[in-house]
Amino acid sequence: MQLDAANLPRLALGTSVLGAGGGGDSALALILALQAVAEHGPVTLVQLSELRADMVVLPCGMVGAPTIAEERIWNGDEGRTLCEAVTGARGQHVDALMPFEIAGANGVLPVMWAARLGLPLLDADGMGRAFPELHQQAMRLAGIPPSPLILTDGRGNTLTLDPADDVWAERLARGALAGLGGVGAAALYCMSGEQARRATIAGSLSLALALGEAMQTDGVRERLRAVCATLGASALIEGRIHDLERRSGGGFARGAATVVGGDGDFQRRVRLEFQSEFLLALEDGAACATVPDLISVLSSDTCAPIGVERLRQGQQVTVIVSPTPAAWRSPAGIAIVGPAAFGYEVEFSALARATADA
Amino acid sequence: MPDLRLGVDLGETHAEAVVLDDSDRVLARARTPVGENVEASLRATLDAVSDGEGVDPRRITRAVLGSAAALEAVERRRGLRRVAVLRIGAPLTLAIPPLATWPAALRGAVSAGEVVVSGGAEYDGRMVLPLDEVAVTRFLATVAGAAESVAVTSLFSPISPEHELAAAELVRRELGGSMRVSLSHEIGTMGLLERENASVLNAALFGVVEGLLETMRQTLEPRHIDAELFIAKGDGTVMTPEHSLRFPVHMLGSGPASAIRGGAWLSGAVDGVTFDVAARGATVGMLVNGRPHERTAPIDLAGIGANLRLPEILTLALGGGAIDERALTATLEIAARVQPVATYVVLGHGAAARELAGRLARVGEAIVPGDGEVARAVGLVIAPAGGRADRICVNRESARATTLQAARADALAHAIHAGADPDGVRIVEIEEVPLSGLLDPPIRIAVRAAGPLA
Repeated sequence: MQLDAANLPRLALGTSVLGAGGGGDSALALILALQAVAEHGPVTLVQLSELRADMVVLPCGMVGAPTIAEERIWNGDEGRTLCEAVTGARGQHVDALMPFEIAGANGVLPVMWAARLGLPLLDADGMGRAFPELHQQAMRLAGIPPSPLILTDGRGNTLTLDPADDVWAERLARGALAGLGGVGAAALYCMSGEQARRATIAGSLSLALALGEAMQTDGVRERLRAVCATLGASALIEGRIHDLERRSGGGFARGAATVVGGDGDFQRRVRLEFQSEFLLALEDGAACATVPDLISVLSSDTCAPIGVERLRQGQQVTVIVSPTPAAWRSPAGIAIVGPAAFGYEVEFSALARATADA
Repeated sequence: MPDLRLGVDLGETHAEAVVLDDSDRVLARARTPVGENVEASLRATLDAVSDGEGVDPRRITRAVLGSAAALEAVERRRGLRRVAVLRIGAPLTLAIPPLATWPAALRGAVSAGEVVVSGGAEYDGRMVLPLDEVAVTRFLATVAGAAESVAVTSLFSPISPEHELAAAELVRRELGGSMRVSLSHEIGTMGLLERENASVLNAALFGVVEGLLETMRQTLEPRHIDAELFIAKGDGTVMTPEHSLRFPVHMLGSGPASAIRGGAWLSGAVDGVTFDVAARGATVGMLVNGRPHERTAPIDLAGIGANLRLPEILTLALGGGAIDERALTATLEIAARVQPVATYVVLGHGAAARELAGRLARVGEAIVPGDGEVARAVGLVIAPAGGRADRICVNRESARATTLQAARADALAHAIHAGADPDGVRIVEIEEVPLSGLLDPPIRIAVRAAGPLA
């Protein structure tokens, strides 16, 4: 399958839904990917089953502040820099790129880099959604070392780092970012084809493409149904953003919003806790959905996802919850991306009280 | 306090004008279709209101003009200046060249050449590379003769405009002081592509606004109207002619904003939904807290994404007289998401307006205010002047306080510069959003000020 001007808009729509409030806006990434395929031709999407065992797969994406990336537009050759640094560090040539995060801009940017390099893109990712930290990847669960961690700023500044472990990879990258301009391209968890088959979340780009198609369904009700069916999601509440508080600290923007139920959900109130993504949904003081399940806030008018930075009081929204990829449901997965990893003293409750089928 | 005030809206299909006295009574009103000769329509409309009872043109001390001329120029690619497009940001930003997202015909009509040179800032205001003055000079030499204006967009210029200002100086040196320059930091906010697009459109529209102001002068003078002139902006505020000469792009989309404001004023509604009824359909706007509700998504203008502040508009087809129930229900639902108050202000006086009002009265309070057919012109007369400021600062309380104070002062100064009364201007909105994804996220602070005209 090829990624080209015909299906990239669907990919970008789909990755925006998979952000669970984070991941950044995919609109600019789409413009850049379209420009790259116009100049360099389409990108081949390869399946895990098509990978040779000795192929070298490089997970890559953007790290830093998505809002800054709206201004600080890419040079375009960051992918080449990342691949060259891998060759420098390991003596291997990269055979395929993979988005380390399927959500938002990060699900689409690797298309630009792959097109410009003439490399295929692997139909997989490391998160199956958006997460704020680089080590929150399925490859960590599979024991793939994060090193070498490569960061480049598009200005020719490149860091090749050898972090002691996964968490240090995140710390080192985040620490370097402010000096690098607030946003940069990163690669880590470089692996073989054989490793990729057991270590990644399979079919992420295909899922995003299918979601994008669901998002193009006529009629808002029908569209919501199609999106939920594609994700295996259910609607938690439909209502209006009533209270919205934002605070910052701990490295990420965070806050909470209360959704007050509309006609069908009269007198219900669901509190959404968010950091870079929506992480908890609470009703009557109890968690009814938690990270790593995907809590997505969609505009009730259009079904378009609303990111945490675009959340405003008064918005009419539908909150949907979809199950996280299986890799995250293990105890090891929950330890890395469960509620406790984000500072909440709540047990992971897999879609425990998600109500009202869409 | 001015004595008599004139509002004139030159729309795409019709022109309308009103004269208000110092107690805000509508003394005269006129509405005429706009044909190929826009000036003739303007003259006819002005003659009609000048003849109104109690209207002595010499007593008109303020005139506010709204015009679709800028929008028509972009849509029809007519009267646009050829723009030399200079982007400062390399090696960043090269992944997408300037105007690459524009429709080919419009790009062809506007561009006198495009270049990306090195320079620009980072988000914290650091200038990490010098401006490549040699490349700028070389580019200006290649477009000399072809370019009628220049648009300059520098990376992070809303934070640090240094290189845009330096480039403007180079343009003056190389192409002469009469070459008009549009600097992106004066036009838009963060989001380089949309800001660049808005700046290029601005530079392309310099001639349109010059022509419009000249027409206005030539029309007012023989009618003995010696009024202070203001021009309507798309966000529902107004600006001085000097301001409009520099920022004609802000004229885009002023008609709907004027209609919403005028509808609010005529009906007394503070919250509600306005229906500006024309021959083919109604333009539907949402009135929130006395102001037009703004779109949050980037605007698509003739196929170009631009980060202009325009009101959210829905259109309701009213062809053939019969109301399409499904379309109306859908429109009301969407409007209710933004504005749940079921107060419907119907602007117009024909059969279509009456029928729509009758239908809306079944689901809410329908108001058909007197003079609704000239609501746009009324909205112009009563519009305030506004200003904005947009900053980013590090997440320290002292920096936040200093930046907020500076942004407030800037927004107020911009509003006063646009014509607001220094005694009446106030801050109407402050937005603070942390930029997630960094340790110690910086905060983006956006402030808006508005006030009645001095």
